[in-house]
Amino acid sequence: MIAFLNRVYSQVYKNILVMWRNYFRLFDVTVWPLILLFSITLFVNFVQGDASIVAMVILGVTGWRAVYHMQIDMTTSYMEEYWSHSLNHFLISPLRMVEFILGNIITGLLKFFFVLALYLIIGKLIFAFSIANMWLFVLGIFSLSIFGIAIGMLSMGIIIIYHENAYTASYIIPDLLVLLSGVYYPISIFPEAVQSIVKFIPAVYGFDILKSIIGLAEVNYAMLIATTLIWLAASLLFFSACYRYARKNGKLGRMS
Amino acid sequence: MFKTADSVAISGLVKIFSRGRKTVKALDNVSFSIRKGEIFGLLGPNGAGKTTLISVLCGLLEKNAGRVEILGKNVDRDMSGIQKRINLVLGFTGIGMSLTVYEFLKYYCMLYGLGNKDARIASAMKSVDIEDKRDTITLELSSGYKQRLLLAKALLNEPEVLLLDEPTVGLDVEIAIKIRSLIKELQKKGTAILLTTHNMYEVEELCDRIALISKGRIIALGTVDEIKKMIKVDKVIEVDVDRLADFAGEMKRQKYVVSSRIVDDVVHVKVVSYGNVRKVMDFLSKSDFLIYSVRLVEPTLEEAFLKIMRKDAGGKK
Repeated sequence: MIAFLNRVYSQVYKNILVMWRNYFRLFDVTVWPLILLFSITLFVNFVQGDASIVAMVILGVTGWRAVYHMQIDMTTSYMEEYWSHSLNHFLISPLRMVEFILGNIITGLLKFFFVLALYLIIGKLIFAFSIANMWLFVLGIFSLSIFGIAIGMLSMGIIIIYHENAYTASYIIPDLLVLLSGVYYPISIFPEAVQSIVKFIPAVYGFDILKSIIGLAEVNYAMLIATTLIWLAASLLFFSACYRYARKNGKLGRMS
Repeated sequence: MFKTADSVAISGLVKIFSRGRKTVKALDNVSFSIRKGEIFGLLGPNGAGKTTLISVLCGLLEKNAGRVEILGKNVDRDMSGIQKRINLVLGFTGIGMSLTVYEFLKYYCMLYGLGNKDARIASAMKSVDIEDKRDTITLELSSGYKQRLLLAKALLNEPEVLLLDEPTVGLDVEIAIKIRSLIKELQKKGTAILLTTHNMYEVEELCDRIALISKGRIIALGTVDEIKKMIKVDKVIEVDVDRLADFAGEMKRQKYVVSSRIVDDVVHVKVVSYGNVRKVMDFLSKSDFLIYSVRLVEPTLEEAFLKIMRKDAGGKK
C-alpha cells in the first residue's frame, strides 16, 4: 500500500516541482485563468449584462477550468517525460497506468483548487459574486471533473501513439467539447442536428448544474449519470486499446 | 529447458512489425539465457534487433511468439513484478528535467515504490561519483554526468537484472573506465547484466558470453574465445630472431607455410592450422637462429565479428 501511494505521489511531486521551476508553467494557474475570466466578465459588464449573467459566466469559466486541469495534467505529465528523454525509463518503472492517472488527477485537483480560490476572491471583490448553493456547485464541478478525466484518457490514448504530434489535440479536444456543451449559453442555440449530438456530452449537464444555481437551467440527472458512465467507460477502453496497440507496434517509448 | 539459475531465459522469441502491407521480422526465433552474475554481451550492426530485444525484456514491446522469463517470472503475466526487480540504462538519451539530481533520484525512488530513499540516493550517487552535483538541475548536466545519473537511477532499486544499451557511448575515457568498473562490481554482487555495445574492447573486458545478432537472428553464441575460434583464419606467428631475412627466407621454403614476411622488425609467419604452428615451433627449436620472442597472434574479436557477419550475409544471399 505504501509503495502504491509512493508511486501515485511521484506524479504530484514531479508535476508541482516542474511547474514551480518554470514561470511559464505557473502562468497555467495564474495568468491564463485570469485572462479567461476577465475577457468574458468585462465584456458582459460592458454590454450591461445583469448580475445573474455575470454569475453564469464566472460559474462557466470555473467549470471550464475544472475540465481543463483534470485532463491537461495527464497529457502534460506524460509529455514531460517525452520532452526530457526520460520516457523509456519512466515506462519501464513499476508505475501502473492507474497510479499514473490517479497521481495526475490529484495534481489537476490541486491546480484547480488554486484557480478556484483566485476566482472566488476576484469574483467576490470585483463582481460581488458568491455561490448561492454550495452543494450544487460541488456536484457541478465534480461532474465536470469526471468529464475532464474522461477526456484526459482519450487524449492520452492519442498521445501515447503519436506523441508530440498529437499534443495540440489535448488542448483542442476539451475546448471544442466545452464550447459545444453550452458553457455560457443553453445548447438550444445550436441547430437541431448539432443539439441531437451534443446532448450526449456529459458536460452539457455539468454546466446545467452550475447554471441551475442561479436558476438559469434545469438538470437532467438521468442523462448526466448515463452519459458520464458511458464516456468514462469508453475513454478507459479507448486508452487501454491505444496502450495495447502502442506496445504491440513499438510506439510506446522512445528507444532510439 | 529453463534453469532456475537463469536470471533471463528466452526461447523462440519472435517479434514482427507490420507497416501497412509490409511485415518485418525484427526478432526471429531468438533463444539464449543469462545466468545470475553473468555479463552477457549482445553484438550486432545497427538495425539487427538489439534494441527490439531490450524493449521486449523491459516491457515496452509485446512479442509475437516465444517465451521470456525474467527472474522466474513470465513477461506476459507479471511484467509489473519484473519491473520492480530490473532496470535499464540507455546511451544517447541525454535526460533533462527541471528537477535537481537529488529530486530526480527521489522521483525514481517513488516510481519504484522504494522506502529509505535518502540512504538509497546517497549510495547511488556515491557509486557513480556525482555527489557534488546533488543540487544541480539535471538539464544543466554534461552528457557524461547525465549518463552517470542514469546509472545512479538504475542502481536505486538494486536490480537483479540490468539492461545496458550502449552505456558508455560518447563518454570520455575516464568516465567509461569508471562505468566499466562499476559494471564489474555489480556482477560480483550477482546482478545479471545484458550489455549491448559497439565497443569490442568493452566486450572483451567485460563479457562472460556474447551473442552476435544479425537481421533478428542469433548467428553465434559463446565466450569471446569460442566466438574467435568459430572463424577460420590463418594463424600468424610473430617471430623475433637475430637474422630476420634469413629466417623469413627459410620459412618461405617450408611447404606448410602460407607466407613469411618481415613486418615492423619481426617475421610474420602465416600457417593454416595449429598443427602447422607446432611445425614452425619444431623448426625453430632445431635451428641455430637466436630467438628473442615468439608469439601467436590471435584474431581480434572485431575480426571475428566482421567475418561472421559477412559469412552470414553471404549465406543469406
